[in-house]
Amino acid sequence: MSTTSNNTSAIASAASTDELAVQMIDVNKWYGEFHVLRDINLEVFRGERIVICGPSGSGKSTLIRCINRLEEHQAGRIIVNGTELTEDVKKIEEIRREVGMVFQHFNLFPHLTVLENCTLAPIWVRRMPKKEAEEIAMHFLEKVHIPEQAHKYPGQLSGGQQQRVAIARSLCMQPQIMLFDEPTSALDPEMIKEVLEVMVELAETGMTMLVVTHEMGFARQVADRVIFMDQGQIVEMNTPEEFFTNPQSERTKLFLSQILH
Amino acid sequence: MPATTKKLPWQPFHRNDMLPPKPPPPATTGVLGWLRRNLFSNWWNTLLTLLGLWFIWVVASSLIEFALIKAVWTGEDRNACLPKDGVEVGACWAYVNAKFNQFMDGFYPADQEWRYLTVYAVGIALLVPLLIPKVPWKGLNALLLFGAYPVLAYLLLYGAPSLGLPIVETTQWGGLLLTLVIASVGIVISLPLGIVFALGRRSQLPVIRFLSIAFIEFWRGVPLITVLFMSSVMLPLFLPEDVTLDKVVRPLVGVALFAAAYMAEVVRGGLQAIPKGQYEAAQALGLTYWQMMGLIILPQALKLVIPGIVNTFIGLFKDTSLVSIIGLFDLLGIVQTSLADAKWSTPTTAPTAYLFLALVYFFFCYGMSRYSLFMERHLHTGHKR
Amino acid sequence: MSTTTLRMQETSAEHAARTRRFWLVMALGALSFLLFFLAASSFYYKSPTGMFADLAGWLAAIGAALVNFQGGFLVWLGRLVTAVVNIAPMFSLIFFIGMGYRLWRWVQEEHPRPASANPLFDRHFRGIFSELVVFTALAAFIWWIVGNTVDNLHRLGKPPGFDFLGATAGFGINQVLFLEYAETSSYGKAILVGLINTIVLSLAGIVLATVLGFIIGIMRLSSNWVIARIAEAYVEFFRNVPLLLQIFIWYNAVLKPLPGPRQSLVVADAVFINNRGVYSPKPIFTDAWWIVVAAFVIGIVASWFIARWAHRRQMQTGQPFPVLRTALLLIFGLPLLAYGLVSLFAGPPVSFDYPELRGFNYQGGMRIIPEFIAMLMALSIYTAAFIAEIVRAGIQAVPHGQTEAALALGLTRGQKMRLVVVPQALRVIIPPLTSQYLNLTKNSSLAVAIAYPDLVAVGGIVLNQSGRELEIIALWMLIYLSLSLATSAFMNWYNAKMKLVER
Ligand SMILES: Nc1ncnc2c1ncn2[C@@H]1O[C@H](COP(=O)(O)OP(=O)(O)O)[C@@H](O)[C@H]1O
Ligand SMILES: [Mg+2]
Repeated sequence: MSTTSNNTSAIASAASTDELAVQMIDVNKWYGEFHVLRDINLEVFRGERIVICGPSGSGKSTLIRCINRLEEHQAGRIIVNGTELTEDVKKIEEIRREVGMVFQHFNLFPHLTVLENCTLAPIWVRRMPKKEAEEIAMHFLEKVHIPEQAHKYPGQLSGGQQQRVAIARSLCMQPQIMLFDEPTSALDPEMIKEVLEVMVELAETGMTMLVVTHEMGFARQVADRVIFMDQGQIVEMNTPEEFFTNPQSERTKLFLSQILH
Repeated sequence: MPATTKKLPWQPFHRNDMLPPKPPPPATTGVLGWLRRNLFSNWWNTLLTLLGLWFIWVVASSLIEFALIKAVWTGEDRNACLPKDGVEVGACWAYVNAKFNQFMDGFYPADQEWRYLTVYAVGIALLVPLLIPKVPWKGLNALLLFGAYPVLAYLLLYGAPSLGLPIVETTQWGGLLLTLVIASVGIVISLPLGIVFALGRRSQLPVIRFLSIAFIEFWRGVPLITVLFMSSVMLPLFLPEDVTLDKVVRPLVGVALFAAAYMAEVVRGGLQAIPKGQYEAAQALGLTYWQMMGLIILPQALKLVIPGIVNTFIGLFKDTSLVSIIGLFDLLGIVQTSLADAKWSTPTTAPTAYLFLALVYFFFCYGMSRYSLFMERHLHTGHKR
Repeated sequence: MSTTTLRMQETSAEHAARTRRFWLVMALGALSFLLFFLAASSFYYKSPTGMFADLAGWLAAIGAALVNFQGGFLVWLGRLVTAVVNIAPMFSLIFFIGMGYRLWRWVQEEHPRPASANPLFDRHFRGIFSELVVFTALAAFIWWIVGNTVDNLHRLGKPPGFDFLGATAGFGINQVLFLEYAETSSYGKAILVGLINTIVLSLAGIVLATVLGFIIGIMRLSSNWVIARIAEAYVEFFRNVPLLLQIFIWYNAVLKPLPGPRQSLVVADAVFINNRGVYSPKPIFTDAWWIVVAAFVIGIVASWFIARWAHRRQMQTGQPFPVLRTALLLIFGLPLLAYGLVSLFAGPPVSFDYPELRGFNYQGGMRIIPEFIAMLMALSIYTAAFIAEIVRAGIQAVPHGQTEAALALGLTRGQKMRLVVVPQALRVIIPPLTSQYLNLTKNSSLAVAIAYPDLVAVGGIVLNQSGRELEIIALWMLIYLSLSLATSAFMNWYNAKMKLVER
């Protein structure tokens, strides 16, 4: 199997832009001399759930952080929601409003209560009345099953609860795309389950999701596509069934054998 | 699964041949990339850079002009440093040169200078190996430095007629010598005293805790200058009629107690940062209180607060300059006094003297702070926090 | 409680042990009491019983001092200090009795665990005993010092007391603010003038150091390399050169070489800078001035209400309101408007007394003495270096993840700073910042070196003239100490409050 299909063929088949949530064309990025993203081409359709996996240091985080400009790419184009990411600060803010992100280490604001964490951005960014913002926040806190913790501080919650608050906080901005960067890898096993449950429920609502994770069960259950990355490039991309049962590249096989043993 | 039922809008993809890394675009790395990122990333940054460079240029050029280009290096008296033909001159180094001996040792007899120079030499010979982590024999070294060296220094500096060393009264000590004596004695006394009070403040015994708190808060609550006034004026009152204290020893007591209180707070910070588990483990091993503190807790706590300890040392070193207010001729005091000398009175004498002083003090203080940074890094390797 | 059950189960052997312990403690206690009295009395009174005779004398003296209260705050304060100093040994006696009581309670009360039959091996007993030893030693030491001091002072013919504060000072002070002071005023008044000068200098220094420190601290974090290095050089240089030297530099190398009054540097034809200080026009207000002041106050109050209203409206409807611009307009616009109107109808509400060169110096106007300027510059520039480090550390203490999360939510950079970074950084910044303020206040005492008339400098003159070392130094320390303790009390309160909010 040495046929190296050209990744650009995916571009050729591109649908009209309003079907596309994210479009990455020949994206390259370097940290100093280190080539961390190499010729990335990726199209994410609306409502699609994509799981990205790969060994540590392969550039997964960098890839999704480029989508909301937490990292800057140096070559190629990234188009999110029909808006291209450039130096334009207004456009970056506009895109960030529509793209939610959940971090490995939650990054909740420790000086604000759970409810205030959730209402901060709706009030200041969406200019929403406080009451309305709080109603929405309570709605999403119920969705993540912790409305009763609304008036506590993040420091008083367990890891799993904090991560669910972080998900609710992002959802309160009612984003069109959600990015997850290893949302469960800082959690104990029993907490992983409660966070994954919430993510599965979110997937069922039809949210566009890009998830960096090593939870293969989650990938099997909800993903439309699985992407395997190594050395800053997309090595393999396929449906979960194919990806897990019939991996094509040697690197993917090796990785899967290590992770599924 | 929806993906399996309908036709995929994307093509499955894989690659076996990996893309090799490519060099980054030229403008993002190397000197050029660095310049662009750090100095000229946008117009605002460019403006700041230019303003900053202009500022540096103005400061540096006027400093160099004053201290080097227009400076007067040699001369016998003020005439050398007066404006010539209406042209202003820069730093009057001739004056520093003429007074240099005095700046270094005050009124220490010229034929006895070898004595304090020997003290310096032995001190450096003992201190440097102690400061370099790699050099072995730390225990013996410390024993020599803190046990034998003070005796030697005392005998050499003050004198011992029985050994053929004529006595040099402390009133004759001055300049950098006096500054160093006060600073090092202060440092050597304040650290152990500070540790004792830090332990006292964390003691389970209420009376001891209360007394430690009172001591620490008292010294930290008053300005050093009042402490110095107290030690120079009131210490004699505190003692019985027939006991007199040396004029140099008095402020030393004040400085040492004052620094000890600050040191105690620094050490307390370190003690608080040691997890409770360490105490419990030590107790579980059956160690007594002093064994636990000496072997387990203090070594870790002191390591943690090295920057704070060195900062206190630096503060103490700078604070020695205050003894000039109560009439001692330390480095600052003697330079300030020499400014009154009509023989060298020129418009640039004072700026020159202060530049010289600033350089000397900066040398010592900055050296200490660099060393503490180095130690911090050295100790942090293999140390997770 | 478990103690009662333990007590009920006490065996006769344990009872015997307890009795033995009791007597041992009593014996040791009595012995140390005895030692204490003997030591103290023989040091101070040269006789073991003299103490009690004097106790009555002290009490009478305190009573007299309090009854004799005749005006003059400092005189009164001084009496209080005398009283406290005099009764310090009394306090130690009370404390000593308290210790005895603790020991006795220890013997009476049960411990949850059986104590060793030999008290010397009991942890509690050892603790109390070592406290007793330390305390006895210390009390004896203090007693000895107080005794020596009293002896020495009597020998020198100046028994301690603060009545001298009422005597005529006889010296002038070149900066008198808020008070009327003349050479005929009392020592107490002179010290009060010094205290006010200390406070004014410290407050001005704190404001300037804070502004400068925050600017430098933020510059150190700048992504612009040149700016960051300049800030770093500033911090390293000014932190590592003694403050006293910096004061001398400002005073002797910067301000002294300024030209004399005749060649003053002139700013805007009204401000004259020379080696005698800065002379500026002195405003003289007419009666109508209050209207302008009122307009200013109204502007501030209105801005405050508008800010509150705008916040509430935004919370209710989401509509933002340009609060800052409106407030600036109100606070500066209203007084200007008032000024204009008053000038129109009643003539200008303020006129200026301009300094004029008469003979060799300027007369009239307002003069800021060079000593003040030198102190202010040195203090604020020196302290700003430390504040800059505190600010930098505080902002860096906010994890980068917080910034990322804020940006990912779509907050602007300004909102990120205001809503997420600054509130968290302030918790880290405020405690050390307060201690820097305290340091600045204490360091203002270096004014004595260039004769800026602060508390220590004026006190020093009084000390030299009256020869009252003990009293003046006690006064200095008392004033600075109360300032420091009040500040630490505030800090403890602040820390406790902030901790509570977070957890
Ligand atoms: N800010 C940075 N500066 C330099 N190198 C970085 C930085 N962030 C990440 N890297 C490097 O880039 C590579 C990819 O990082 P990352 O995207 O975090 O990998 P992953 O998330 O797949 O583990 C790693 O080798 C990492 O060391
Ligand atoms: Mg990662």
